[in-house]
Amino acid sequence: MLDVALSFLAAFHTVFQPVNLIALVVGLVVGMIVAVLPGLTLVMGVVLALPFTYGMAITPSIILLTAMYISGTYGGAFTAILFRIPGEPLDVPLLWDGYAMAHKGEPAKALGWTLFAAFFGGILSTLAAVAMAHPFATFALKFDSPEYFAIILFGLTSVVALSGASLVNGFISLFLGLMIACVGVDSIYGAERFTFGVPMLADGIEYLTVMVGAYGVGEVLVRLEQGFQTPPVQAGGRVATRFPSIREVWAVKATLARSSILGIILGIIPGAGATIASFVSYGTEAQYCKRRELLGTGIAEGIVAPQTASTATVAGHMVPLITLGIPGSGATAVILGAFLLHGVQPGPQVFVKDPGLVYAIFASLFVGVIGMCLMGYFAIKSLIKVLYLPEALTSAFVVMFCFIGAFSARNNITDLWMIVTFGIVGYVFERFRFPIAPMVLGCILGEQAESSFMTSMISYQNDWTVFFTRPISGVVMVFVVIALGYPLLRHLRRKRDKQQPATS
Amino acid sequence: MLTRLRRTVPYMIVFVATGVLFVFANRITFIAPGGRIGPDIWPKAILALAMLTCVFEIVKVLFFDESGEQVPGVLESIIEEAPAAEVVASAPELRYPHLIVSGIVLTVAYVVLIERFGFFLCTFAYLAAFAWIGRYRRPLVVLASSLVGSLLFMFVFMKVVYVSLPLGQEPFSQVTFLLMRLMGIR
Repeated sequence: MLDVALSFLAAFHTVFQPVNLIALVVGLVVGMIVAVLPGLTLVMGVVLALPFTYGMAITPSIILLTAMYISGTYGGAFTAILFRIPGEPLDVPLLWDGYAMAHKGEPAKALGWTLFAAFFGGILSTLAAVAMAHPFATFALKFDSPEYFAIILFGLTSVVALSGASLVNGFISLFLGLMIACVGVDSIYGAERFTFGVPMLADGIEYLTVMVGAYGVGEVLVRLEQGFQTPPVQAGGRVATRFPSIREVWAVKATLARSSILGIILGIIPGAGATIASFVSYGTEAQYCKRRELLGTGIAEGIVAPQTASTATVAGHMVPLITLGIPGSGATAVILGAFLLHGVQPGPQVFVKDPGLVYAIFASLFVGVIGMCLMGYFAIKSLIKVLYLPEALTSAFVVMFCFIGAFSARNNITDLWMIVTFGIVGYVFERFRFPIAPMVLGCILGEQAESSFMTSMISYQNDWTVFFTRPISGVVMVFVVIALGYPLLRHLRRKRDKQQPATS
Repeated sequence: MLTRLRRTVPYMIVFVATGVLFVFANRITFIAPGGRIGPDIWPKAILALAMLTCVFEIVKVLFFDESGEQVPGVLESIIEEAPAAEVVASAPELRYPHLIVSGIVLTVAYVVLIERFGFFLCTFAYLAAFAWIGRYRRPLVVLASSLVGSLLFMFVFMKVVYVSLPLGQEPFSQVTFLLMRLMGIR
């Protein structure tokens, strides 16, 4: 453990190198702007930044993207509290108590609670992630191909099971993503699959074009169809932040503890991102908070719970990403993409080959949380002015960033066509309520899933029961079954609960 | 029944598409040692699962599901149960189909024309047209931001990041070359 602590401390030296520090600050500012703008989502922001990392070294690249990710979980709180505009879905719970507190004439206090919650959740979860990552990686070194296949399967199914309006649509999205990953020459036999004689397809479909198209162009098209209806911003008064007193903080200690733990756990589980954590922690407060009957009227617990939990998920997400190479959300899928673009496959071997990189990422999260809070305190007045930018103009620029991103990758016009195609696919998915995340994750993890599956089959003479009979993979497969069964059971229970009052 | 049939359309499309791909998967050629599974197994398994999922949904919608209720993911059900759902649901969701059609046509046109007209001219036209289609009606702001934006993109990506953006064909490439000279891009 001492080794881990020393490595973590030493990594601060890396973070404070000029190029990494610049990447961190730029990431924090851009992440916050993206979170403030209602038309731009956090994942879209991280996707758009990805092409800029091609020419950078891996450490500043990952620092830039993770900084955007963490400040993205915080920036939207300002617009939710001050203007009743949730910058991100994860900010919706803040509309209740955050906006209510501001409406009662205490916006500075509401902002102070948000800042404190983001700080507490961010720092605690980073320290927890540092403590957990090494044991996780050491354990993962025992994994063979059946275990990897089981874990990837768990990651993919839990993403489907946890998000989206329909399990069926989630699975169709996932299967499409896995099929996209099949296009091209297969890595074991060298056979061409689904290339239809198009030479460009022999190299496969770049997952970058899928991500940029579906998240970038697709989201812009969805907003365009809605006519870019950003709610009007009411001219606010002075934007200031007032910190809670120590006594006030002590009064919400249980909320802080519950929300931090929830955030870290939900961050580690693939698919359960900041939005789920934000809602679940608010729901937990509604059940266990001492002042639960006052929730929704503008009390501190209603602000602290969602903000602490959503910020805490970021460091939690980094644990399976770095130790197993499993991204649990759209944003971490993009960060995995950045790792792969730089020729680094995250997993337990990273701890052996490049521990400096791993701890630099965690140290940058730690510094990033502090920087984000300082920015929130000093610069928010200037940052929220981006709300006045016309969405039609910013969206046009977003599409342009997507196109230039495609040019930066391979300098090929076919990639532009791919982006437009997946942009339209993304729009159709949103329109018909098919979730995008399973497709993107399927596309990124498909190759790894297939190679683990094929290697297992070849090594164990086509015995598919190997996934269930080996202890670790067997346990993970049980989790797969739970991940699939739980939403179904939950749905049936809710249906029964709805029917009972009607029949009685 | 017509409403139910309409609800099955997306699944029928996916079913047919996966069926066609399954036929192509049968034509994958490879040489594998005896007893080993080939590279067609994985895509076939995925396609079969996709088809089964579609059949399940089609049968459910047509014969068993009156309400059209789907089994949601856990997040969706949490959001549905949360009081915040009222806040989200209260936002009016108007749709403008002509905007989306125009937006897609414009975006496709950009990709078709960029190699002929070059990055600068195409991007300037695209930014201005997109903002206009997006119902932003301040011509001076639109033109100025499109001009500054496309020049800035060109400068940053060609001069600083060294991305090779399309130059265009004659005579439009002359505009690109002129701007490159002015910006000191070689």
